[in-house]
Amino acid sequence: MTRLQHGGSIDRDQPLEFTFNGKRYQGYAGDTLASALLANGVRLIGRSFKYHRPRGIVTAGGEETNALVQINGTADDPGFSEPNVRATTLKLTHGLDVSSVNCWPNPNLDVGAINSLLSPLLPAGFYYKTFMAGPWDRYAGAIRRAAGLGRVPKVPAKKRYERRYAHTDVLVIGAGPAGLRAALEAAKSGASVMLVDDQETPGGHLLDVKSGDGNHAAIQALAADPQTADLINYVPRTTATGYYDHNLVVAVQRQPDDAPWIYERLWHVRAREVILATGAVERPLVFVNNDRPGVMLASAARTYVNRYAVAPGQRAVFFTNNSSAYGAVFDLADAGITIGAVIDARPEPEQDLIAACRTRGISVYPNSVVIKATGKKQVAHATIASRSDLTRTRDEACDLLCMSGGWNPLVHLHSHSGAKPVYDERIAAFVPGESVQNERSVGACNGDFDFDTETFDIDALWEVGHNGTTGKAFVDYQNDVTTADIDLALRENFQSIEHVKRYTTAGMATDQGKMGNANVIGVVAQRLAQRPDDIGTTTYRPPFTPVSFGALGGADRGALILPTRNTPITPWNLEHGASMNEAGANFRRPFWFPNPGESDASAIARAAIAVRNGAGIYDATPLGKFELHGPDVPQLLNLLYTNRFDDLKVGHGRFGLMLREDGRLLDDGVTFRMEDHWLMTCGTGAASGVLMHIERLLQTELTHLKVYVVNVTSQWANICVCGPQSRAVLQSAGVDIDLSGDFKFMQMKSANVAGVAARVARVSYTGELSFEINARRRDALALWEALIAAGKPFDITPVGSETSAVLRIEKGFISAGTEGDNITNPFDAGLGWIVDMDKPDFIGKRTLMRDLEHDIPRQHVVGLLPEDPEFVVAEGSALLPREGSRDFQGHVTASCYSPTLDRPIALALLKNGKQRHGEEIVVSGLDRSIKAEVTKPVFYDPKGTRMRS
Amino acid sequence: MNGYRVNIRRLDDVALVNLRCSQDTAAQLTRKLPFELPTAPMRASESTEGLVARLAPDQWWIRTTLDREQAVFSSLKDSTVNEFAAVTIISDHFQGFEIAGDNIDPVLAQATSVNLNTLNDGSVTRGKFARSGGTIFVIEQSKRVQVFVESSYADYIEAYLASIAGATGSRD
Repeated sequence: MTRLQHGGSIDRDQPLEFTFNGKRYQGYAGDTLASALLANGVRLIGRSFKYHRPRGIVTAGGEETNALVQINGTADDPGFSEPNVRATTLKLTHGLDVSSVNCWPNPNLDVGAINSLLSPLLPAGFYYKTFMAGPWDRYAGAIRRAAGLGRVPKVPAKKRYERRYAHTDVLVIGAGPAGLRAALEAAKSGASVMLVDDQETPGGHLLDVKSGDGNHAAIQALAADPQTADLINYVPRTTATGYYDHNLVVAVQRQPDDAPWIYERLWHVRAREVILATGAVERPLVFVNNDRPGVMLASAARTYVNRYAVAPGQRAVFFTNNSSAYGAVFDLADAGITIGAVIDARPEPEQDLIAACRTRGISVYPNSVVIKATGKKQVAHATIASRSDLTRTRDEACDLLCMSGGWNPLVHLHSHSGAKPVYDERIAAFVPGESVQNERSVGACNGDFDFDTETFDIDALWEVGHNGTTGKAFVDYQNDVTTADIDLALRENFQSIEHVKRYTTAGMATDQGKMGNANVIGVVAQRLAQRPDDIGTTTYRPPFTPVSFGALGGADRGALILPTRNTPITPWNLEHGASMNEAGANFRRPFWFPNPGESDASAIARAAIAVRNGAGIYDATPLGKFELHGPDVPQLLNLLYTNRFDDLKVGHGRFGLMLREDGRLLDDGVTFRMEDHWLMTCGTGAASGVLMHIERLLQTELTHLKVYVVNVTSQWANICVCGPQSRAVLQSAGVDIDLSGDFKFMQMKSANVAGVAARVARVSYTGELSFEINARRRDALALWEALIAAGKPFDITPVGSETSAVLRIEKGFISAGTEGDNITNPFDAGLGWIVDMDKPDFIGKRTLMRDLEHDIPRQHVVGLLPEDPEFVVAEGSALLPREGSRDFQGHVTASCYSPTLDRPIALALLKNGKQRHGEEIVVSGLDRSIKAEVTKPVFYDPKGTRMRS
Repeated sequence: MNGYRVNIRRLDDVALVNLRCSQDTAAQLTRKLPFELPTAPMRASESTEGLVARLAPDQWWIRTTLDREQAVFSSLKDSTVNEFAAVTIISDHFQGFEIAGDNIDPVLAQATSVNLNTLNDGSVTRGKFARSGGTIFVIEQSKRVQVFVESSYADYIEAYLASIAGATGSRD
């Protein structure tokens, strides 16, 4: 055990049992997984991403790239699984079960470690060069198995997640000294202040230094000040992960105090002003084998000693190029850890620091470097040399090699906001540049360090030169990027830092270069004999730390994964075994109504035959419905549709075709002229777009027109009774209007149907005699049930969307959303009969004129009769002139087995299709190619006598 | 505790009549009608019929009970017979919900990005609500709101609200 006898913020009265790689350990409340593992002497945590090198704990915070684990269960949810979790931020809980990642069967004996031996064959750019040729499928499986940082959960989490919006005058990110002070000042000025911080308690880096420090006490007092609590909305355990336009910050909160049943909460915070006080993270030094378990940031070692009362090693060597590491040296020494040496790359370290070391019996070696760490799964020695002569080396035994290459201000959120960091020579690091949103950075993330040494002094050291020592020196741990990879990238002329990033993957992946980027930039600058500010940074991207899908989804899971819309008939549909599915605009609709033991295809065909020969009933409620009021509605409709509406009589409807400005199909539907207004219907999926289209026109281009549009889509249910017996069904249900004689096709009348006030229209989307009955939503279910009862003697059959599709394909009715593919114009679709080019104007007319003037071959809607009478061609299949041809001439838009014709049929868009009726073409699908005859698109009742009967 | 302290219920006896007309027409109507059409934007006021809300420069909602639906509609229709105006019954197009209790803020903050804390009693706003759309009446700030959503979404939104309210969030 390496737990120190005293100190730390852990609660020694609350021991916690946990499991790592199947072995049980004990930690304390207040531990992270990392501190508990270190306290139990566990140094090897997992394997690296590419070379499967042994990796341990290098940091004590969210910048960790090496100690990644997979959660396999928690006490409250034994089946819980989460990959890619940083051991350094994972709060230890009783019953936590975690395991290593990137290794098999275990981190001690990992088969994948062969990659390390093969590393000369796997340089940067290996994938790009190797996997360009040949079918990707051949190696995709193997690569995908080898990649990743853990396993995707197999079952849904029982834990609960929440997504919440917040608004505040000032959002302060980071509750260290600078953040706390900024938050309090803002609050005192009267602003509402939200303060988010990723730690359990405020204090920032002061939590990691020894308590009793004067600054520490002051900040603790500030945090504990009741005035602070009153004025500031303090949100602990919350990491700001992204900063977006208009001061929108996204943050993830773990186990919020106000809602303990929530595991993670995703905040969307909109702030008038954002203050970034995100601090800085220490930078590694680049030397051979700088990734060995036991090589750790100096500040991390200090955190483990002071905060968690853990000795991360027994004999430590420090390697630094700056003054900040000495605080860690003193704290470790004072905790009883033997300090073998302090290797300081600076020629002249501060005398007072050297003296303080001497007082503790610690040797300081100025102008020296560690050129290599040795030891396989645990560091055993540090090889030390003078900077002036790297060939003269000596080994210093150690089980802990603490390094400090300086500090990287966490400029990530600043970068997310669209700003560019700039290089600050004074601290050898990038600091925030000019803000582009209402944002400012304070404290360490602004380069204003507040260390316990008097001044911060650094001698930039981007990499340690070597004397021919072989081995890998890592500049970016996460993707195993070495200095050799950068050399290769530069040799191959990838010199822009953005190109270096993409070629080597440095700065990519979940850590987004928190630790490595500055060194990468420094090394590139050194190689190109430029300054780091000439090189610049790459763009740091959100998220700052990984965000779970659970948090992103919040409550949008299970049955709530998508918003769903019901019609008043939905309860009946469910009760009668309908196969329900999403069918446009979030509506859940019945696709078919299978009888017990009946196949889907049979159910679809049975309903189609019922409509052709008897009676069917269809819930058409989702169709968009808009009331149009005002004296200028005819003028508007004449512009919206390709045909005329101003001559439409009251009580009559007309089919219309709506085009976009570019002359392509937008929607089609029937519009009725009522006594004092107009009722427009449109396709379900197009409804919201059509409404926006009309409103946009009225509010921007046609402001002179006196028209109001009111959406009544859900006000009115639409029940369609269709088939030759439909008239009889309505009469049987009881209707107070004469359904024969004068009630013509495309008319609408007010009526009382089965005791329900309704509007009855003669419209058909099936090709049969049909009556569409509009009733108020509240009355619709009763009306539906009455019609079903009245239809029993006629064997009335409920019709689902799939049957409706079959009926419309048989009739060759065009669906703007199916045959219209954003290229199709009305003439292509065979709808030229409805285009009145003599009208003064309509939307899309100008483009249609251009289409007509140019003799460019276009795709036309045609019918297809596949030669195999049993084979239904797949929708989307390509149309080719002959087998083996690559001359793509169109595609199948809709296809089905026609129960009426007892053979498969299809609609398609085919180049010059109108001129090719009778021709044979090849329909090429994924599984099979088949010949088909090109026909007119109407397969059934081409004169339309049945629907007008 | 494993949920927020809120009560969520459907508003069943609510009729809605939609009025679209110019502000001048509205001013004239106010003189003819037994209730006043609010002139302040996005505000609702009590009337003899119920709440009357101004939702847009040219749009008002008159909330009443279902048994008064036709009477209010007819009254408005008669009053606008020679005007450029649209009077439409939309009671079935929308479904109302009431969300009340001590903990409504965290529940609403999950359903909508609209900052309801800036809206005092009597305010009305519109926006995304539970991934569909909603018209929100602030009845008592932080204590009670009424939300109207398109009725086709009602079942989904009822389940969504129950989910985000947590296990103790009750529904009448």
